[in-house]
Amino acid sequence: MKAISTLIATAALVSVAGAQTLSLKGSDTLGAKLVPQLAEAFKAAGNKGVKFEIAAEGSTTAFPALANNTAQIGMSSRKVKDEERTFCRTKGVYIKEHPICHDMLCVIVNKNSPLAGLTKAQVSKIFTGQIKDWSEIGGAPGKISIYTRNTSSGTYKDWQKLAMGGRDYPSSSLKMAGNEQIAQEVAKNKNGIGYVGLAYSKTPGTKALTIDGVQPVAANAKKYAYARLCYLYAPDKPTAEAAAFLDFVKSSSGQAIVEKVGFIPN
Amino acid sequence: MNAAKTSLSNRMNGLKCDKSVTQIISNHRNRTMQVPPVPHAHPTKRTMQSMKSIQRALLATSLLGCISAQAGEEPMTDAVATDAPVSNASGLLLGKFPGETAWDRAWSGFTLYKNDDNQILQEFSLQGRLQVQTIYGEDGGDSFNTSDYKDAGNDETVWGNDFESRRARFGFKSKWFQNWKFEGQIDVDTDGRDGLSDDHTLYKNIYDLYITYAQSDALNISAGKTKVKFSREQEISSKEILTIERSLLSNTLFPGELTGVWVNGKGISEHWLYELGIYGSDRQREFSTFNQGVIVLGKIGYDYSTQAGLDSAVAAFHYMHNSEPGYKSPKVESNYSFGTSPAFTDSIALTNDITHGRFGLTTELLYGFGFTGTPEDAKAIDQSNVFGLTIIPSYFIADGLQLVGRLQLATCSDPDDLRVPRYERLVAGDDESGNTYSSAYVGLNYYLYGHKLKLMNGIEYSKMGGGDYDGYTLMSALRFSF
Repeated sequence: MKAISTLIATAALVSVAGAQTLSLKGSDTLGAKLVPQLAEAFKAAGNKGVKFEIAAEGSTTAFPALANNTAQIGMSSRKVKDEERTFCRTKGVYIKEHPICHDMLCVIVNKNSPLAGLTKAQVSKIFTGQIKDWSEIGGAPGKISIYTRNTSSGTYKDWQKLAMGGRDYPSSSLKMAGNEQIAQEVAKNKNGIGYVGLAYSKTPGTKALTIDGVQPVAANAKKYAYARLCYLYAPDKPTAEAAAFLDFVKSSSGQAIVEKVGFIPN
Repeated sequence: MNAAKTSLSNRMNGLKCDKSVTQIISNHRNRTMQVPPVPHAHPTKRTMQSMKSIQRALLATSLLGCISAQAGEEPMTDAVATDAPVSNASGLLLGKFPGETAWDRAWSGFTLYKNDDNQILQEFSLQGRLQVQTIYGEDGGDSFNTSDYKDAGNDETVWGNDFESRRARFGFKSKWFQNWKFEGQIDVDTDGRDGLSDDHTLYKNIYDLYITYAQSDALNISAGKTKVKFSREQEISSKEILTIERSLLSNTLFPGELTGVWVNGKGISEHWLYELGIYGSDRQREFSTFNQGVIVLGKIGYDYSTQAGLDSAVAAFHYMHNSEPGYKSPKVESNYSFGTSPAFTDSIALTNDITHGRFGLTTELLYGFGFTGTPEDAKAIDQSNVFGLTIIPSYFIADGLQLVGRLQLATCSDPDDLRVPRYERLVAGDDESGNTYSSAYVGLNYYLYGHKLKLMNGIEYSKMGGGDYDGYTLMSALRFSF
């Protein structure tokens, strides 16, 4: 009995000693939900000894963290900039890019709107308040109600960059807690317009508009105006845990989670 | 607090709490948020107060243990929202120095103010560089060094006898109204010999000063004074070049810092990049008078890194036209070295620049169509066509230690239309010109803090065929920038 206890204790110690920490830093788009779910699934797939640390404070933070070896994987909703890659190189870190998914934002209006599509220029003018009434762009007369994400949302700023040329929202825009709230409000308001993730583009009472003639569907991820490729970055010689996690993310199991969370598999 | 964040984040993600293995250290989006979303949340004050009460209650509950909840399937989502202000402002004026290391935090002190949420001013930073170097060379039995360079009456400052202040610049850069940038630098005069008088002043000349409207990566429109970046080597800032000096032909064709308007962009159809600019060709301490010729620069490039499977790979074609070759403004004092426009009507560059892992390679073919004639207010010019090839491979042999090579070949039609580089002129004497230039450079760069603080060492063997130079130059440099 004593021998068995000793054996169990030894195994436990070995197990604890063998626990590895995998640190990921960068994009809040990826780090808010997708990567934590991937991490859980990775552990459930037989990697319980891996402890994850996820810091999601923006893509910009990914590359200094890689350069300084404070993260083994960087999360980014954009490609690495030349100067960021160069800085990593000068620190002896030669990063490799791993595209993992597309992220798509869809423009939705009330299902009774006569509009089927908008141009990028029209979207920009609507969300910056330059176009105030639907009649200005061929819709039924009515003051446009703009629903946006909350100011503390990363998506709030993402949309400014993607669709509004970095300009500000009008003060009359209504700030909502999440995709679901935006979709619900647009469904109730015949003059409403908002942007939501792909998973919410078919919310009853709403319809997603084409942008420059391109339907917001997964198949169009590469040509839709408000879609972007998201990446994980790691050193060219990653740790065993990082390599295993990257393999998992790119596997069919990982990509299934990508789709489930609402991103588009790569 | 981290434990709270862990449980909350996991709850928001619809996961069973297991804080021992997955720790959400921080989340930019929900940094100040601790509760799940409230359905139908209208942004009224009363609703927000109610939300905050619920938030507090749920926060307290969550601190006691893990709460399992079903997550919504939101992409690009923060599960919780509040209007509580989150300030990401930083900078010297605010006493906030972001960064992971002491180096990062030290350099962040040059950012006086940075706040992406400020709708008027997003950033105001200082910028500058100090580049100090020393040289020693031999050509046959004759030697030369930094002291000789000082004695040759060059305008650059030599500290003592051994250290040349190769470049000293100071200025600012700023970002306004999300899309506007305004930046500039002066060349700092540390010896006072370059001004209109013998007075010692810090100001030497305006190096650049321009405003940019950055609509997107694909469209940037700028106006003001800037360095006209013809050739790949000139595109790369002196802060980031891998060799201590640029190649001979790149400098020969360089038109200088000029005043004009230009438009550039990248990422067009994913791969294409371009630049088009028009500038007054007169080189002045401040701005062009626009009463002389023009220089037109056009570039088109293609990023083929994806197709080639390389970290970066860009091939580009540059074309530059100069309507007033060899012109030098009479307003420019004679002891300024930068005053004359290059003696070429048209210039072409074919460039290729790739990096992958530790390896880098820059290759450049240059051609200049020489000018024959007499520019206004200047002596007659008879410059033949020039042609050259420059190859710059590099490889990181250890962390922060980079081995750099460079091969140069340059030739011209007439016997004496190429001139040896700046230091080699010290011993070439009257026979500093020839018609075939070749050189081989080997250097080691040690990066203390990226390109912002580095040491460079190199040796270059060069020969001017048709001239009287056949020797080597040793160079060491310290480069600091912010």
